[in-house]
Amino acid sequence: MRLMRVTVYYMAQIKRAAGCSSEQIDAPDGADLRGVLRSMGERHGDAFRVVLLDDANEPRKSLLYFVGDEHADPSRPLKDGDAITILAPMAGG
Amino acid sequence: MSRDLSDDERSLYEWQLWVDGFGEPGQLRLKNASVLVSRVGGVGGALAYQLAAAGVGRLILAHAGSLRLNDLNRQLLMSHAKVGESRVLQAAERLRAFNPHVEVVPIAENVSEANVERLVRDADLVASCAPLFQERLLLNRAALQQNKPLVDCAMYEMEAQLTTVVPGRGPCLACLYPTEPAAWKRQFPVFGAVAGTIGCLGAMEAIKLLSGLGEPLVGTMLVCDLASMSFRKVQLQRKAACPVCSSSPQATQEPAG
Repeated sequence: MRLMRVTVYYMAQIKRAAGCSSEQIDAPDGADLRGVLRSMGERHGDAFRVVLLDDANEPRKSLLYFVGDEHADPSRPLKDGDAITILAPMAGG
Repeated sequence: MSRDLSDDERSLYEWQLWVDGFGEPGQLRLKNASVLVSRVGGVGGALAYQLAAAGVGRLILAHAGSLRLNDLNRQLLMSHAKVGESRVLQAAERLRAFNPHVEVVPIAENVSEANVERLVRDADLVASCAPLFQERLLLNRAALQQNKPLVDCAMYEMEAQLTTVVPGRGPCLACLYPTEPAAWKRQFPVFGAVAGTIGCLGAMEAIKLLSGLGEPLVGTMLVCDLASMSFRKVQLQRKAACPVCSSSPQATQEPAG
């Protein structure tokens, strides 16, 4: 199986849950964003998975996902070298 | 509506009157403008301070409650000696002392379903600086319904975000957050300097929108990581099925997703 490598950047609360600000992920060539997010959920364990994925194993709608600088839906196909950013919600105060 | 600046105002605002493309016409636009600031804590306090400095004619400050000691790492309009006293009255007192040309209207209420339409009606622009998504989403809805721009400021730890909603042009906050994020808590880690940074950037966005300078962050979010001092802009998508902006009076733009 051919693999592609993408880089994931975490912002705000999800960075703490992931324990790092970024990491590289190898995923099957042609995988979409949803597939990569699910594989990340398995990789980091339950505490991270519940922040990233809901009970139906879908990416949480309260997180914002970007591929490069473009807002992306979980169905977005990925390609080798893509940079994914996950923004957890934040507010004023 | 004011058509002139006084000699005192010309002197007070002299440094910004020199800004290319601003001048007296821009200053008069600010003088005749009214801005609603939702909460005057770390973010909204810095934003309101800068709008008072810039000469925005009327600032409506909405913030309930009394000052706590642990507010003071970021709430610059407050005083250590006034812990336990009204936040919004302290903010108003400080802003009036700083710039007596500005009319400051303190309202000791947080934005709610009951008051949001009235608060937004009295303003030309809305600055959303509250820690609760419920308040931000209410402001977003009311601003869209009343065809008014909204500047939304947010922060967490050493990061911050800024975006602007202009009805009929790009996504709204409900496109980004269809529901209140369940895990969000009112209290969270942050430095006052992060709050001040995003408050000042939000003030600049408001000044641009009111005076017609520059390019506002419509359909764009500024994402700041102050740990690495990296600033980037990401493109936001409007949701076709957004229950808020797809039914607003200005929903003329074709949504992207």
